[in-house]
Amino acid sequence: MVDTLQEAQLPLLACVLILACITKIAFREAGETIGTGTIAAFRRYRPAVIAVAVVEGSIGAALLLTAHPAARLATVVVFFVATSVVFDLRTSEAHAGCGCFGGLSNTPVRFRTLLRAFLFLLAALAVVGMPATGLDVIRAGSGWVGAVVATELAVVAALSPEIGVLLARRRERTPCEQRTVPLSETFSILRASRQWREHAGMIATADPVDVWRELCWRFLVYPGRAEDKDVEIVFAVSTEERNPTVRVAIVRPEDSDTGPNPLYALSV
Amino acid sequence: MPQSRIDASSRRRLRQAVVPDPDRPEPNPAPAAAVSGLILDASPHLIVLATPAGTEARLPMSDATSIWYAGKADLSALQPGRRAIIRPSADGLAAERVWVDIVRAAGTIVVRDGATLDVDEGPHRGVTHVAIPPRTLSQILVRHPHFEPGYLVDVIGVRSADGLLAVRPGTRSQPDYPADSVPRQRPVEPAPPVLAGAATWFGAQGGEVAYPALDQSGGGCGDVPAGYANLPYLSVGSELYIRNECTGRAARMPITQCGCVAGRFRDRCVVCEASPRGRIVELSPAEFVDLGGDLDEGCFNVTVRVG
Repeated sequence: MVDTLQEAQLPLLACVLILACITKIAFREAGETIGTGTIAAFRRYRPAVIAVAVVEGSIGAALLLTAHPAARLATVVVFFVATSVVFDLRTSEAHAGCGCFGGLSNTPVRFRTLLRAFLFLLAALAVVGMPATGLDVIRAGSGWVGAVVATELAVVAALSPEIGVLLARRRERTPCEQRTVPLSETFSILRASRQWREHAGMIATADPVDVWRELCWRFLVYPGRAEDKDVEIVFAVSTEERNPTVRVAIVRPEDSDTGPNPLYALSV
Repeated sequence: MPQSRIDASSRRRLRQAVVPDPDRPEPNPAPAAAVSGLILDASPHLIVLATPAGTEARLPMSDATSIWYAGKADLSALQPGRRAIIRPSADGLAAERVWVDIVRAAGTIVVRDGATLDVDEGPHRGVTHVAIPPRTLSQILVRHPHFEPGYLVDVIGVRSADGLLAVRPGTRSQPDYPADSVPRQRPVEPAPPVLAGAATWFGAQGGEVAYPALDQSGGGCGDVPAGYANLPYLSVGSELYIRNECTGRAARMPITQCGCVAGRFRDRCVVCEASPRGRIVELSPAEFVDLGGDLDEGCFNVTVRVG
């Protein structure tokens, strides 16, 4: 029975470490949930976070593939450090998340997060010296091991605020007027649009002369020629996450500020 | 730093061509414009200012004229060489309120040495030295339980040779989080067509309007932490219809600069009723006074409509 319990920790720990690697890379932490201090400074440095993620992923893979003592020792070290960091955050940072699973771990550290880290540390200690690899345990396919892993996963899920954060993220899409939209995304949408293809021949410069944003629209102004006259070609690219639209208007440069004077405007 | 190189009227014209405004509320008749400048002379019946435009402004004084200089003051506060901001009476014929040498520091405490502070007002405004006299220290500490580096502070005071001499807090409740760990409102919901919160003022020449959520592509706030309120992204030149909910005065003004520090405050304004949490616009003193705000109060309840 003890062997079964010990064996079950290998796939569990491997799964957790690989998941921590993936989420740290996929979900970047927001600055306001990181907190202050030395650990926070480390977490704000993206290459350092990526390095930690790679180390965790490598150890997770090693738990599956090899029974080398170094991999087991590294697992203990990782979870010892994680438990210490979580304990420190719990006692000194009221608002910071732990970042254990990247940007998903953005809620303030509570007792259950600390308990989870401590249980992982116990599991890591339990697999030190075991001769089997994680893959060996999975291939053996013991029903008891499966039951233990399933039970432990349920406990881990209950102790993980990240699941709620992930579900909330799926429910809540950031409204278009509050979405942070990189300029490169706007250019990609614009240049793939019919409006761009239809007016590209009129545009005189490669880069827009003015770019700005209001609410759900980013505006790009290009100088151009139409009917032998200088014109300004104004594109409006929506910042919607799904099905962004593009509008265009051709405007005579102003002689005086007499209000809008479009030659024609198209909207889609 | 005002981004005056951006042509707000040109942007408005071009935006209207491609995405017309559905409707634009018109402000009520323009309120009497505030007058600011250096005091040249003052008597019980007349105050003379040298305005930044290089002209002289003369406003009659009366017994009803209220003077502020580190609190309610008398005519002796109107000394030549001091700066004054005057709100004319409704008929524009006399000075109704006069604020003398009033200044403000709102930002992050970077250094505290006893009762003196260095306050970082943001990358575009710099650091202000603040001295707090013993008689006002307790009043300011009550509103600022985290009086230490890293936390936000907001004080109103008078100009002095050593910097800002604080006389009262500019906030009712200091945020309880560090300035670089501003919580966001959850859940993130679509911004309402009319934003509601607090309007504050900051030390600037006239005509400045600062907004906390500027998009980087249009002359934005740069790499600064997001603010508390979930505000829609706008740009320098975007027009705001700003209404003082306490007085009913309103004006349409273009955004001229980033108000990233104001965005970190989660306080309410209670000049009339309690406003929703969050500062959504900052005005230069003259614009603040024009809309009916009292500089010594520090804020007014505001609604803001884009366009």
